[in-house]
Amino acid sequence: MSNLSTRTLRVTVPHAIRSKITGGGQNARHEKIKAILGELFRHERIEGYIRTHDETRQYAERLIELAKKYGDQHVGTMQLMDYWVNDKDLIHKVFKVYVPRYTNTIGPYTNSYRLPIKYGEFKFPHIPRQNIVLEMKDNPYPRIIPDPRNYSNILTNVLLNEARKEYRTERNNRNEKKDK
Amino acid sequence: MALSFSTTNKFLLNNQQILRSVLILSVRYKQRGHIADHLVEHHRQSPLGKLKNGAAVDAFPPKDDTTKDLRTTPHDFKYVYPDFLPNPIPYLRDRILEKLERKDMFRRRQQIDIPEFYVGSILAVTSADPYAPNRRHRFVGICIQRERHGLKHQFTLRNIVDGLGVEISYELYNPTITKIEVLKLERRLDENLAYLRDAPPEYCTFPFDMEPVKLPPGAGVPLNTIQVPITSTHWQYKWERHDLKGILLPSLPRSVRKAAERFGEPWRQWDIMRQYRTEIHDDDKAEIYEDIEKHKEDLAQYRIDSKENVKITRARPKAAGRKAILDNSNRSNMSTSK
Repeated sequence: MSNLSTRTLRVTVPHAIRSKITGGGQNARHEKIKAILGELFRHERIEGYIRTHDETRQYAERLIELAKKYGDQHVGTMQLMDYWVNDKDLIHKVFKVYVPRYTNTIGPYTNSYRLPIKYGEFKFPHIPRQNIVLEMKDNPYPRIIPDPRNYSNILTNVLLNEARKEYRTERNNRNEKKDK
Repeated sequence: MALSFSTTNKFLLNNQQILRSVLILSVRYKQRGHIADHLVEHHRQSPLGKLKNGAAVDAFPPKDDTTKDLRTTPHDFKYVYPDFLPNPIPYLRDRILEKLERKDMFRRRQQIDIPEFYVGSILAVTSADPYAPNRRHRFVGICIQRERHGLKHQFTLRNIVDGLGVEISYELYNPTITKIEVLKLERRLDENLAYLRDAPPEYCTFPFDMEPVKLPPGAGVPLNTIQVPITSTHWQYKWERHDLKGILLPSLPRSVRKAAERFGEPWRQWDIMRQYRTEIHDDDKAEIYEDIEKHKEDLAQYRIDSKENVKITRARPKAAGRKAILDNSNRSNMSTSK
């Protein structure tokens, strides 16, 4: 397991590991990360507390880098997947869906966006928490931050383009008639 | 906050390690590359940083992963050249320093042949000693550990001389080392053989006139799966806690065994992000390996032999020779005067 190495992750990896994201010791921490990993791989877009989810993001990126580099026939990688992914059909998904999706890209393979902190709505223990949205890239849902640049398919532009084409052809016809 | 230092003694208990690391951290944090917030903001707003024809969502178009200039390193690179790997702690890295050190390491490797060896190999190191006969001191021993990074890379040889255990730590790139011979090239099951101090003496006694063991050409590095019994009554460290594969522990009381299980932290071998923080990644390794390959080509072209191999013809006579000439001239003067 310690022999497996990958490129530098293209996600911020703070030097200090967040070793206390939940009570119960390191085993509980691993269980928490496994749970969030499972949700992320299954639903492709999840929301949650930044401390736990940012930590899980690093693990997700590393797992996908390892899967990309070593493939599903490599014993060490499969053992790691078996440990970190509780639902075994998600291991299948990682190799059959995510690896082909991300073969021609370099990381990061996840996006994280900060959600607004809802002041006035929090319950016990009255401490507002920063939540984030973690999503796999190129997921089938509509974008969180909409792409404002591609306006060519909106109705106004489609009609305008057609009108422009029509005007040009008519003008060319008129010019040809004049020449004749 | 758990800090990992590759240079600290990993057999020490955790709280000692944390105390030391807190001291070092408080000194280092201010020194390294800290830029004031207002400067960061200024550079963030500068027009040079703005993207031209920028995409809205993705900052950069994804590069093709299958480019030809994707460098690869052989799997065993980090085992053959551990001295070239830098310190994995990010705030202790200085890439310019690493490049310059690597240059110096290659220059030293032109002077003497630094062979490939592993922890568990038996080496003979000849170093320059002004007070020894022939000005050379030769020591034979088994390599028990390899530490530090870059030019500071050290290895420790252990042997038992006249019934006394002796360990000598050499810096690999020390210019006073004139020769490093590998008498027996092999690997052991652990990366640190400090437990040999608590083992019977026959496991680390090697004769100084040991003949080099020749391996057949093209053979890999043999793995010695020997299990060394720990027979000393007082152990230097708690060997049962460190998952050492090359030792044979005596029967231990139940409490000790239970404590060892708890200390073992079975989750640690699976924690990929902790491992990530303690290793050098593929892109850095590829860059280093490229430099090493270039150095090997250069080495083939020009090789400067060390003093041991080349007979030096002296342009000036040595001090003793000069004295003899003086005496001769005095005697001849005296004879002429007579």
